[in-house]
Order: sequence, then structure tokens, then C-alpha cells
Amino acid sequence: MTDRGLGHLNEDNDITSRRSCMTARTVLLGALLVLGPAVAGSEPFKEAPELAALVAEGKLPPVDERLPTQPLVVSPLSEIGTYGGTWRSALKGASDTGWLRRTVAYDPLVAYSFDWDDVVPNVALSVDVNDDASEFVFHLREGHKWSDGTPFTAHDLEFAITDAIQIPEYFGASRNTHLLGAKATAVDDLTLKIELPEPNGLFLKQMASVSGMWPLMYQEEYCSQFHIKYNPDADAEAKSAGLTGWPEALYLACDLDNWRDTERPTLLAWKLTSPYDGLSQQVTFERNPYYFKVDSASNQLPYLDSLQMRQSSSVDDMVLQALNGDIDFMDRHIATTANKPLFIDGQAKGDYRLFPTVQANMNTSIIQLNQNSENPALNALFNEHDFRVALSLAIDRQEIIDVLFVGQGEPWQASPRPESRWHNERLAKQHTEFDPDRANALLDGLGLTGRDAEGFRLGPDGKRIAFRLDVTSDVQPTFPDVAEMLAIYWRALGIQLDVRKSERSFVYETMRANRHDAHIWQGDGGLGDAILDPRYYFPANVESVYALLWAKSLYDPGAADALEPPPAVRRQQDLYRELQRSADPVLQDQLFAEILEIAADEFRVIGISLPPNGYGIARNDMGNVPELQPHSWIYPTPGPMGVAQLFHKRG
Amino acid sequence: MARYLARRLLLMAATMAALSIVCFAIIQLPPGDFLSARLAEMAGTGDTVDVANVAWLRAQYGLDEPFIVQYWLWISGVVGGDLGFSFELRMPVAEVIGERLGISLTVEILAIIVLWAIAVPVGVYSAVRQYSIGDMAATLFGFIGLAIPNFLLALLLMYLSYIAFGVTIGGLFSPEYVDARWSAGRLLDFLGHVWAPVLVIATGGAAQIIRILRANLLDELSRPYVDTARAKGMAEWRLILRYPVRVAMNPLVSTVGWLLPTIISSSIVTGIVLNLPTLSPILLRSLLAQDMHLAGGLILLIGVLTLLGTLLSDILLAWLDPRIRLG
Repeated sequence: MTDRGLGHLNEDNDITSRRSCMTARTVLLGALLVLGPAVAGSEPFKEAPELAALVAEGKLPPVDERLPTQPLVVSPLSEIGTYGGTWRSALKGASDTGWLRRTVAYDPLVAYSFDWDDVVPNVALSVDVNDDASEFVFHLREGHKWSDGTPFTAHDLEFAITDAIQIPEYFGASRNTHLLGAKATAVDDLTLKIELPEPNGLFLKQMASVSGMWPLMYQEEYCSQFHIKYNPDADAEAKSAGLTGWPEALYLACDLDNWRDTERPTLLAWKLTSPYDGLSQQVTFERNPYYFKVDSASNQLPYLDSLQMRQSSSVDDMVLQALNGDIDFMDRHIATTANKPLFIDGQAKGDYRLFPTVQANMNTSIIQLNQNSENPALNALFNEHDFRVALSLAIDRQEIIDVLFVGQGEPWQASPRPESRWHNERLAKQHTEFDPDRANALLDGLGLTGRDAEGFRLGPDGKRIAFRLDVTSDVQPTFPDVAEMLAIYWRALGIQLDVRKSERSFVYETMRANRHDAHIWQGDGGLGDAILDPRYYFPANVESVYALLWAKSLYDPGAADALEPPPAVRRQQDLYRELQRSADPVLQDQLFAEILEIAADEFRVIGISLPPNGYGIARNDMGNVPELQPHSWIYPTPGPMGVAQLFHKRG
Repeated sequence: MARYLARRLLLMAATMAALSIVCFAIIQLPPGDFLSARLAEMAGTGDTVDVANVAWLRAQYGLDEPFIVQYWLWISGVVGGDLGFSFELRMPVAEVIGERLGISLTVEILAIIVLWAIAVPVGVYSAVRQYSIGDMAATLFGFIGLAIPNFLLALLLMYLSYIAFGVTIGGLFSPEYVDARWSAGRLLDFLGHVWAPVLVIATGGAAQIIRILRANLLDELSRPYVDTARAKGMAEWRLILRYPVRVAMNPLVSTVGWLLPTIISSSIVTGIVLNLPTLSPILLRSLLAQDMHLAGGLILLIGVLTLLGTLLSDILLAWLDPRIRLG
């Protein structure tokens, strides 16, 4: 930690000067986004007319006192906006917090750049990192305030990380797991030091992800009243309200997953005014007068007065809202391939347009054969490289693309997208040609020449080669269709695929217990998320269900059923560990490229095709609508665009 | 009568006890529980699941207890008047039901009024003017209404009103009235939305009532007492309405009680498609999420309403038709 100033992420520094002063001990955390001129003091800050009126009445401090001394300056995507208006969208059912986390609730300490190539400062002004990426010092903005006007300090973050996110009594099913075991210390009001138990070169990328928001939701003053450590009566109060205890009360009031407490102060651009409790028909937000961002003309953001999200139980209802022009900006739930013609036809009448997004997924469907199967015959077959290649060669991908994806996309294996800096041509395109003859020859070469009366090949155990695929249509309605087509192609090879439509939690239960033969899912990890979620490139996490037990040797080595992987996989896991120990993005890229090379040799999972661009719906009067933004969950589209810059055009 | 009622109520209690076990068991039949359903949903969005924390949570929710213990905890609360806590909505089940019951009742009662107001006169007319053009038309439209699935009719109505009038009729209120207090404007807005679900539910049930009433009335119209009354010079419509119609209504009245449980269950699909703030979408959602207490509470409520409705029908029937004896 001696070269603190050099391993430094700072919005005022540009990338070239950074590189020129790199030494062996310094670390560059991604390239740095230059956010226009530093404007503090250069021009008086401006604010929304409603807020100016409140200031005039003496009900609100002036804008200069509400903003930090160094507000974050946003260069708008296309133009400087005007104040006023409402952003109307919709929520599906009672637990669609995903849309909230994608929109209003993405303002982490450090954020992803628009193109997902870098990590840039956001709530934090800058970050220092030590050499082995185990200690991170976040510098906050002086004068940054919560929506209730009280100062936001490093103590709030320390409280959130120490007393809320890490506690064993944590009540949610998901949290910011990257912070588990970390020690957070408020050095002073503006400095937060995070010491990690192990080096993690990907930490800032993870803190910029959708789960990076957790520490920023808990205001110490408000949330500590629910915490037993600060309020001895907290447990009794929670139980008298019908809850199981104080952990649940804390979780309900302050967690990122909950939007039912309108009292909670916030750092976000809009604050909750009508709660999301599953019963109310509409969730609303209004402008936070203390929001810390200004545009490049010194106007305090956000431009829009309020957000209005109608709760709907039916996607059809939401589609009609959009067609009717009652939705200003949205893609979630409604922007499916099947709805696209409908939306194109309705553009003039609904006064909206379609804008393109880049799918972060690298595949429409990935087929994972369980290479840790407890069925010895299938285990032996699935572990044959040539068997997997044969199955891949037997697939007529162009036909699948034409039939199911209206001709959009190209044959693609489990490999980062062409836009990605980790694109690997061999990994992406190998074995994608339709060559049933070679496929049959490969199977013959494995000695699988015996056939039964119906023409199916016999396995080494003398039984027909058959396995089952439980497929759920909840996530992608096309999964069952792809699976049915695979069954036809593989039937021609003499292999029986038994496709069963199943409910999602059944599929997941089966997988968690490693009782599945195969699994079909979308191709997560195509852009910036490839390095964070490399599930398909080597057995890395709980979603790598083609080799769950090998993956456990990496993420849960103590598990009783963890298996030592074969040498090549072991090598990939070692490379990934090395990558995690490095704070140098250049070295990280090299190591990851090597992992992908091995993935190409190994060919563990089978991909189908590259997903075509997605789209969203925006009213014609919406300004600063993002074009070709990556679409993902880790990068919670459209959050990283900075939704505070959306506005309604006048006239 | 009092003894009869007491016996019926006792039987109802026993039925409810059996029903509560069956419904709790059926909700638990699918593999997994509320947490695994939740986790699968999160994995679908790409959220990282904190597997280590799940065991602790499962204990907090009491999901790691054996079936019989979970059932006992739930049912002992229910008997004491506490319907339990919804895992997903995180509020007491009684509160959830209370919040939605009023709207559910309103929509359903409106639908029943419209249904009967259309179907009964049409049924009577169809029988009295058998094989007339009007009878044929009523039958045709009745069967079309019966044959079109409710969700499709709802979708069609939504689409037609969007195409023709440029309004979306999903929900029961426009955004500006959702959280407003009741006022003339809100009432008008409500009426501007509620006609769609009412129409959908009513058309679905009309054919059945028309056909039952028509068949019964045809039987009655050829009875000698009708001829006698006619011979004595009684006015035709007065005669029909006073005697044969009253008898022909018996089967309808004996099933009127069955309409009670439909407050929750009849309009599930309609409620979801039209995005109604009623109980039916909550029932579906709670079953999908394996939200035990909420789903159990709602199913139990359907059971209670069914039993109550049957009792009510029997009493009504005895009152309407003196020939029927209870006991």
C-alpha cells in the first residue's frame, strides 16, 4: 500500500497519463472514462423548477449545499435535457425487483462504463488498490448527502457491510457475496478501507455489478433501529409486528431486495413514495433533491420528476400499455422476439419507437451433458471428447436459426461474443458445421457400432444410448423447441434424447443434486460478464452443471462430493485463481485468453447460435435513449447508462 | 331446523379438517419448497444465490421441519384465527386477503348480477318461444360464449378496445386513480374498466343457465296445471312467471351457493389476463411460489365458501319450494 497514489482510479485522470506513470508495482483498474471538464465552481448549478420553488420558500437548502463539492458530471448520451415529466413503466407480479434494480437502483460505488469495457467512479470519487488486490480504499465525495439531507459517510458503508450484509442472520437468499469475509473500516468520514480475506483482482468489476448496490442501501441512522446491536428492543418490536425476528425487520426495511419502506433515506436519483408490497397497483418514486450528479451544463440530475411503475400480473396487459403509448421506456418482459412485429406495426399509433440493444448472452441455448453423472455408462460417454463433437456436428444450426430465430444469428459455440475483447474464433466456430457423416464416423470410431432393433446405437454396457433432458420454458420459450429439434438430429445419429417439459424449480432441484443427464440454458457470459461468470468456459460455479462436482473443487473445495478434475480443467481453475490474485487487467486478460484456449481444446459444452440484437420500447419524446447498449443482468441494463439523464422532450 | 343446522355445521367442521390436510399436502407435493422456488427464479435472472445462507433461512421459515410439524404449526394458528404469514409478500395472510376481498366480491357480484339478469329472461323466453328465431339466436350466442375460453375473450376485448377506442382496459383503475380516494371520478373510471371482466365472466356462464332453465321450463309448460290455469283465463305471462318458472328455477337455486367460492377461483385466468387486483392472481402466484401459508389460506377459504354456499343453497331451496323437507 505504499504506492497508493499510483494504483488509483480517478475521474480527473485520463488514460494516457495513467499508463505513462505505471510502474511494476502500480495497477491500472480498467481504462478510465473522461467525464468532461471538472466543473465545480465553473458555472452555477441549476435545479428543477419545483426544487427552486421549495428553496425560495425556505423548505430546502440551495442546490450548492445539496450537491457534493465535487458532483459527478455526466456527459449526456445525446443532449442536455429539460426538467419535468414522469417515466412510466410496468412491473410484473409481486417480486419483480429486477426492474427496480435495473433502473432506479443502479448507483454503486464504482460503475460499469456504457460499453461494459471499464469500471468508472460513481458514488466513490476514486479508489486505491494495493498490489495483490486485497485492500481497496474508496474515497467518497465531500458533502454527499442522503435524501433526508444528512451526510453520507464511510460509516454508513461500514455499517452496511459489517452489520447488515455479512451477518450470519442475513435474511435474504442472495446478497453481495464478494463482500463476505471482508473487513470494512471507516478510516474517516470520507474514506472507506475494505480488506479482503483473499486477493480478488475482479473485486472492482464485481462491485460495479448489479450486486454492488447492496452496501449503498443502508443508512446507518435509519437502519440501525432495526438492528439488535443498536436497539436492544429490535427483536421484540419485529416479533410484535408478526415477523420472525430483527433480521427480517432489518432486511425488509433496508435491503436492496425490498421496496416497501417509503421512510428509508436513499442516495438514488428518485426516492420511493408508493411501496412495492405486491398488493399496491402502482409503485411510484419522486426526485431526490440531494442526488449527486449534474449534467455537463451544471444542471442537477435527474431531469424527470417522478417514476410510475404499474404493477401487472399479465405480460399481455403490459404489451397493450406499451402499444398504447402508456409506457415511456422499457424492455423487460415485453420486448420478446414474438412481440416484435406487433410493436413495429404499432409505432405510429403509440408514438413510440424501437431501439436496439446488444444481447450480452453469447448463445440462444447451451447444452450441458453431465460429465459428472452418477450413471456410469453416460458418464463414460459424455467424457469422450469425440462423443461431444459428434453430437455437435449432427446439429443443423442454420435450420434451427431459420425455424426458431427468424433467420437471425449465426452458428456459435459457448464462446465470448464477437464484440468482446476475449473473442476466440476457434472456440466460437469449431464443430458448428452440419456434418452428420463425420458425426457418425466419430461415433463408430468410439466403438459404438452395435444397434438395437429400432436402430439406436448401443453403449458400452450393451444398452441403448439414451438420456433425458428436462427443459423449462420459463426463461426462454424456445428451449423446448430447440430440445425437440436436437432429439430429431440425434435420433439420426442413433442416440435417443428424451425431452421432458418440466417446471423450473424441479429442473433446479434435480441439478443441485447432480441427478440430471443434461441441461439446456441460455449462454450467460458473452461480454464483460465472461470473466465474472465463466460457467461455460470451465467448471467454475454452481451453474457449471456439465461438471458440477469438478466445479465444487474450485468454489467449495470442502464439500464431501467435490471431485478432483482432470488435469486440463485443473489447469483452467488454477489459471482463474491466479487471475483472481492479480490486480493487473492486462495480466487478467492474458490468463483468461489462456483459459479460453484450453476450453477450445476441451469442448465441454455445446452451443447453438449467437442471439440476435434485442430491442426496447421508447416513446418518441424520450431523450437520451441508449442505442446498442449491452443487455445483461450483471450489467443491469439500462442502469449503467445513468437513467437520471432520461428526459421528456418538450413541444 | 335447528338440529339440522347443528348437524350440518358439525359435518362442515369435519370436512374442513380433512380439507386442510389435503390442501396442505397437495401444495407440498411438488419437489422443493418456497425457498427452492425462489432460488430457481433468481438463477433465471442471473442473480448469485448465496447457497450457504439458504439452510439458515429454511430454519427461520420452519421449512426444515417434517410435514406434520409444519402442518400443525399452521393449522393451530388457523384455528386460533391466525392465518399465518405470507413468505413472498411478507405480510399476514389475513391482511392480504382483507385487502383484496372487497374488490373480488364487487367484481364477482357484479358479474353474477349481469349473468342472471341476462340469462334468466333469455332462458324463459327460449322455452316459451321454443324453436323461434330468438331461441336459436340465444342458444347460438350462449354456446359461443361458453365455447370461447375466458382468457381469449378477455384478450380479444383488450385488443378490440385498444384498436377501436385507443384505450387499454387492463386493471380496474387508470394510473391517476389507483391510489386515489373514492370519488365520482374514480367510480366512473372503475365502471370504465370493470365492464370487461364482468362481461367475460358473465358470457362464460350464461349458456349453462339458459339451457338449464329452458329445459326445466319446457318440462313444466306441458304440465296439466298450466293448462288448467290457462283454461281459467289467467294472463299468459303472469301464469308462466308465477308457476312454471318458479319450479324451473329449483336447480338453479340449489346451485346458487356454488357461486360463493367463485369469488376467488372462477376468474383466475380472466383476473390474470386483465390484471385485476383481485384474489385470483394472488392464488396462482402463491401456488407457483409455494408460498404455503398464503396458498393454504386461500384454498381453505375456497373450501369454507363452498361448504357455506352448499348450506345456503339447501336452506334457500327449502324456502323456495315447500315440497322439500330438511332433516
